[in-house]
Amino acid sequence: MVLCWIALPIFALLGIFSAKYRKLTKESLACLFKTITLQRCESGLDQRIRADITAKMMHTPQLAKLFYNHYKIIAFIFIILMLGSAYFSGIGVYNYVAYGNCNGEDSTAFCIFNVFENETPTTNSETPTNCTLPNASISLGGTPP
Amino acid sequence: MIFFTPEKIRQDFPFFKHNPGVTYFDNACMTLKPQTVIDALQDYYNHSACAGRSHHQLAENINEKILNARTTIRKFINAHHNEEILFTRNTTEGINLLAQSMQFQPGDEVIITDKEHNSNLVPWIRLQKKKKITLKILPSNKDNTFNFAAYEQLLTEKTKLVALHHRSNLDGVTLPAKKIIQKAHDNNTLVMLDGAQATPSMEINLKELDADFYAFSGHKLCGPTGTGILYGKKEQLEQLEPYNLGGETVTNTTYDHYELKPLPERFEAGLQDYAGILGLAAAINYLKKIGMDTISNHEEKLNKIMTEELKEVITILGPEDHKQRSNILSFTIQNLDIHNIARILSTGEKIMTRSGAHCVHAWFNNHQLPGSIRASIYFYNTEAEAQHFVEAVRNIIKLQ
Repeated sequence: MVLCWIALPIFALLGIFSAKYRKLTKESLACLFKTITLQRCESGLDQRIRADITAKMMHTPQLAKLFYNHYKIIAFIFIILMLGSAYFSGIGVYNYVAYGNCNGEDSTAFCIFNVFENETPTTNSETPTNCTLPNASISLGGTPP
Repeated sequence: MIFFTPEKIRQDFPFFKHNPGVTYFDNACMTLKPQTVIDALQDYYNHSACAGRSHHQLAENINEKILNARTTIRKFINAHHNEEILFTRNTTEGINLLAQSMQFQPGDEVIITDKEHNSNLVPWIRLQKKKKITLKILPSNKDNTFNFAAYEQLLTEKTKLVALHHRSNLDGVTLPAKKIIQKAHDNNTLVMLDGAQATPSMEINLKELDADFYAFSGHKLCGPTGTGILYGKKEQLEQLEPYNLGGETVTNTTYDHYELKPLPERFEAGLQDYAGILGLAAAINYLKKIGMDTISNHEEKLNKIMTEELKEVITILGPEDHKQRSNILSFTIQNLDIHNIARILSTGEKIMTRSGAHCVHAWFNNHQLPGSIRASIYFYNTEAEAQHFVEAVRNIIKLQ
């Protein structure tokens, strides 16, 4: 159940490219809906994800055992991290839109969006923007007149 | 019989070339196809023509091949006549054909065991509701073997049919068919055997067994999917009223009358799966070259390895003795979900097993079990694969 929640945004993103993940997204959504409406999620999707992740960890049996037996706690930690990350990202985006800086008004602290902004190429009015090839003769094919 | 080495035999199966590293232990569901079967299918489509009803040269060629295929299949199960071999899509269709075509009266009794595949349960439940027959469920012994004493008690003068699996897809246990049939015949009762699991690795001799009906599938014995056989004794098939009628089942019709064709055509309505039938014959010829005894001995050898190595740490369904379970190791592991185990085996180790109720839901419901993991072996599996399976299961057990 908890694994379905975490998987939902990932499946939704991958679903843009693959029908397989669209189906999984629907399953995750149905699971989420059932949880919200206090019903039991019986799709088995979380168990499949649990088994698949465990299978990938089998070369380290202790790690696989830890994940297999505590996957709900681990998934909850990831959900909290995901929600926290989403919250702070939201504030950052709001600040950037409102003040031009993701850390708030008058802040000079590092902002990732400013980095992207500074990397935008500027045009110098004295430098021609078109590319010229001196003494070059370009043939476009065909018979000359 | 050819000199048998599974490693060499695997070269006949394109599957292994296309799926390197995969261990296929889901043979009770469907077996892999050798190149000779694939070639037979392709050959049919390269030369296909309307068979059965047309009389041109190409149709005659196909008709002759189909006749030869029917003979091959008849010899495979050692039946008396070609007319006794009916082509179906699979075992399920064979059993349904019988259930729908036999003339039952209210109160007639049908006996099945408590661990029949749904294919040999649901048709009889429907008849119980539609035709008011009495369906009697024969309980197995505690170790899932056949309870002969209970069987004798269930037989009455009203028992019209005993419909049993020959070999169980749940645990691989083979029923004492000859003894069961003798007892039923002493009671003037007919016997139908579901041979889906038995035919892939058992020598079937219907002259000796004396079963009245015998159904099996092609896809479980290296044949194409969508192919199956219902054998019936000639005199019994003639008593049946075909439930599926149409093209090729009649010699002539008026607007209010039809004349049925003789056996077996009257039961084979519509254009048949000729490619599949030829593929099935090719599969049977291939198995005969290997030898049924060789196949069963090899299955027993691998099942022994798996059983002996794991019996202390898993719960085996059916008898612990591997010799009684032919090619099947059906098991659960305490505190671990069966579907998770099968998924870890598949994703992590490329070992394909089956998890769930294996279409024997009634048995699992009765025993209040969610299902089991079933590893089913065939002649192309190797000792190395059996060892790999053992190691993988041992690692999974560490998750507890």
